[in-house]
Amino acid sequence: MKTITIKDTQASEVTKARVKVKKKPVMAMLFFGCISATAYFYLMGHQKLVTDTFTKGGWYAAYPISAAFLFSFIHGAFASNFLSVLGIEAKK
Amino acid sequence: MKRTVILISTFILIMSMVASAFAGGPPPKDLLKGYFTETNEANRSVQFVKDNELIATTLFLNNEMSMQDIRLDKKVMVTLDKHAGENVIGDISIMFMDLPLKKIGALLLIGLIGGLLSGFIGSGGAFVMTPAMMTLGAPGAIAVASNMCHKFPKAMVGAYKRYKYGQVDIKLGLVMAVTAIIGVEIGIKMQKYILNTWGNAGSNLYVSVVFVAVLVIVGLIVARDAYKLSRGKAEATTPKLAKALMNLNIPPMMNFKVAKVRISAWVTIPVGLATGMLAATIAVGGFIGVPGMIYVIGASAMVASATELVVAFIMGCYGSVQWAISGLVDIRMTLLILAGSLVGVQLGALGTTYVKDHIIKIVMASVMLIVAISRGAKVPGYLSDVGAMKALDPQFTAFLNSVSFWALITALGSAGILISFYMVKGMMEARREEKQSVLETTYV
Repeated sequence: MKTITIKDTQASEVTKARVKVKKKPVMAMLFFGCISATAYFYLMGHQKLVTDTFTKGGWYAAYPISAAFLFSFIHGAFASNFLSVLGIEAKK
Repeated sequence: MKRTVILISTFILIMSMVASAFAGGPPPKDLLKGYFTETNEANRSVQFVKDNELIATTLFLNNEMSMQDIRLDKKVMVTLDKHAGENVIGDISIMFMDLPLKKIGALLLIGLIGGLLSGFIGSGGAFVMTPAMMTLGAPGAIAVASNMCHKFPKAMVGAYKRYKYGQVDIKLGLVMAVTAIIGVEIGIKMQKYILNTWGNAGSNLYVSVVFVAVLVIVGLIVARDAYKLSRGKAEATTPKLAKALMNLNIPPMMNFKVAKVRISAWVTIPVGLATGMLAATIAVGGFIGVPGMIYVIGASAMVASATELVVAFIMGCYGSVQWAISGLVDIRMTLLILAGSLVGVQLGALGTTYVKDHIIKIVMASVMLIVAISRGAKVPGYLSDVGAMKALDPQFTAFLNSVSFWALITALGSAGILISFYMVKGMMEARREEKQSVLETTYV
């Protein structure tokens, strides 16, 4: 077995080349980002209607609970893809 | 495993039908929500239309109120002063504050750091969210409800991420959650008993003393352990107490595969009960749940903090339904905090894959001890309320309140800095290692 010493710059290029193989989920991030942003704009644009309806109590409780679930899926997916696009991923 | 999960899930469902448990106390029952429609200066009365009702009720202002306190354009919460007479208003709060950009920015930032903390140590964030929302101008009940409703989806996303990293013990989480829900019920009953016996001031004092005592004692234990581990004076082994308890062969024995623990249910159940009881009392059950899972049950800090997210999800879901039924969730605040915390919680969760077990303990101990200072600053005020101390100077009271608030902000800020520091350090080390391994595989 023969060990070759190479420069650090060469090593970093090899690492970069390996990283490049993995495609970043830019499209998924944009897709979920757009849905999430639209949902937030709608919410903030109709504050009175939303707050009135969501606080009627009783069976209306389904609104805030399902909105929390819905936003966690949409915005959670965006956040996950956003972190991947930034290159922040869990250690394997 | 499957049978246990089904059994526990069924139990949760049944419990949710017959009981009402909430972390952080139950929603208030004597609140009226709705709009003022007309004012009558002559007899100091107002017409009030309650939610889901078409006919207005006549309410009367109390002696301290003026007609300027009545807003016709905003939804309000009204409490009646039953001692002052029939339909006399005791207090009015505007339910939904205006949200200018500055407040939206503040909510997003608090959410981000709170989420980071939650994803990293399994709990936290909640202790600062409610006071922060109240400082921004939300009424107390709305702040508690909105915080609770953001907690469960955040915990769900965090738990899912950490499950993918192989850190979550679902069975342990379910057992803890079920027993904690029972603990919350007991905790609420104790709270009510204390409230009836000692009154509001006594109850506040009791809650604060328990809060400070528990956080200081447990925080110091965690800090000592983390210090030893960071100095390399000890190895990350199962704590002595947990080892001794694992030797107790009292059936039924429970086997937790991910946590790598086999322990009697008679040990697991009290930990869950204590978590729930404290959650009902001091509203930060995770500060007991995580150390309980580490030092009593014997799970690693990594597994305990990840599993706590399952507990937070189930308990948060349960509490949120109750608060939403009372109609007190300001969904705008919930979703704005969630926008920040969903990024933070995933960042915190993946951060755990870059750090060693004791780093989680360092962060947890720091947060617990600073939060204890925050509540400790309130104790002199409560002591003077019950008459154990002479009345405090108003300036001193204001000073203590500002110490309390800034301690919370410091806790959140320092946690954010610590987590980011260790995470970046871990990532840089990992990158170096990866570079090294590429070198070895490519050129050797």
